[in-house]
Amino acid sequence: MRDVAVVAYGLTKFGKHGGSVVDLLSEAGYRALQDATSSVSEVDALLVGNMSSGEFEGRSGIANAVVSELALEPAFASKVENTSGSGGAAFLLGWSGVASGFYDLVLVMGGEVMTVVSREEATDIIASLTHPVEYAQGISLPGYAGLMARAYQHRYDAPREAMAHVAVKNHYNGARNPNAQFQKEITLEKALESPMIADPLRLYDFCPITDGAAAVLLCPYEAADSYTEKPVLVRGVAGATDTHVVHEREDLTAMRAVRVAAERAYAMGGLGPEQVDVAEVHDMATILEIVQTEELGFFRRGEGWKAAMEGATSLEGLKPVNTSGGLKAKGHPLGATGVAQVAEVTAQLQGRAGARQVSASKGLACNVAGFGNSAIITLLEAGE
Amino acid sequence: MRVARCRGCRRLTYPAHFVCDDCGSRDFDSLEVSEGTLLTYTVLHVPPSGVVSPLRIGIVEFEGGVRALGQLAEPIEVGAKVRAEWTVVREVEGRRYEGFRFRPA
Repeated sequence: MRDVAVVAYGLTKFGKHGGSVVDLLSEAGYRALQDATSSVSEVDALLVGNMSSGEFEGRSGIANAVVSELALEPAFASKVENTSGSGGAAFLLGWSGVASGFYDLVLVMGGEVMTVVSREEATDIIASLTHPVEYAQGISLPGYAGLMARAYQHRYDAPREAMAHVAVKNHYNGARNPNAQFQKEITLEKALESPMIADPLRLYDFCPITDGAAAVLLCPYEAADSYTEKPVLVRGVAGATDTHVVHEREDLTAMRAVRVAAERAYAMGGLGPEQVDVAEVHDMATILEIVQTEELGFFRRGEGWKAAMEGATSLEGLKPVNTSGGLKAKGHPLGATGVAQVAEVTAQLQGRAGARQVSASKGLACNVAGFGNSAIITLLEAGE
Repeated sequence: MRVARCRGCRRLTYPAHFVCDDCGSRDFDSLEVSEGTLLTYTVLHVPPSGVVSPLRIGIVEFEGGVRALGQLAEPIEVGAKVRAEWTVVREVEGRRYEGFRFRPA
């Protein structure tokens, strides 16, 4: 296996764009290619993470559409679908192509256009990933988060405010990210008084419905100099799965796919959680950020809520989490998220994160598919 | 209200899987369950179409450790004993979905 580098990235602003995901992907891909220090007119492959272009906007074949918009034919192009983990899955496959020597230059992208349907329709499109016996009950992804939040509070005696702290922190970070959907700080009171959605979770515990796209360019580490002065090395990348039926999970306050994927990625990189300086995690709901910081080994099980309340995950904390604003404030265009997380960690490691910059030489991205059905963990390190 | 029981290793699951999680067998029979304990619940204030609003959903553990996600007919607290019934839980455009609904035991 060869070492692989992330050498460039590009993002659209996240928010309400409408139109087609093909346009957003083309924009993000173009920006990533422009971000490279030398002109890139051909790539070996273009992989597009996307969940539901068919359901949201009636479009299929989007990877072939984008390769054509960017005049990158005859590169191989394909969509990669793994629900909200589509972007991370596309990154893992792109990495494996370069690491194996099969490809030398891969453009990994992710994107989704969601605001063209109502919030209720979007929630139902996403709920189609659930097991039919749970879907039949009227469950949704926010519903699962409500079930987990209550179980977590019950088991660990965690106060409701702990989750609101995650929302306040991520809005603070989002206000320092020009690409974030929400660029407004909020107060704890506002989060705690927002409308109830999935008791005990309220509106401000959840990510919004978002349009957006992201792209990163991958090449062998030894060739990275051709594209950037600040290559970022992929130290580890791994995926893992958990039961499709959520009620069958052994522990309703845990995310086994995240834990196992992280163990695999740490083993691959020869790193431990204590060496991670900055992380992007999948905070579709605030409780998920708390649980993931435990499963990633940043904090002990049952203590993630204390870290959230004490500010350990803030920009000034020991373990900054979701410097981009996370899914909560940056937004969560399903297929874009995994790639956008890698782009944010890359920005941090390259010292390009502006007002939200933290001191970091190693970073982690945790992209989750479904309600913890699958997870993809990526470990990145600033190159020499 | 039946859950699946593997004829190979007696493991209980709901729903039945393509193969048994524990022993890989594809041979299942079923077992009646009725009473269990509520492990957690949520109340959806903006539920999807075809269900009551607000919608109470919980996860119940029956004897033998098998669990099911289902609707709560009324407010029930975590740890309370519940009785399960099998009924129509959702109706969308004439299509009926059946599943568990729980009431206090």
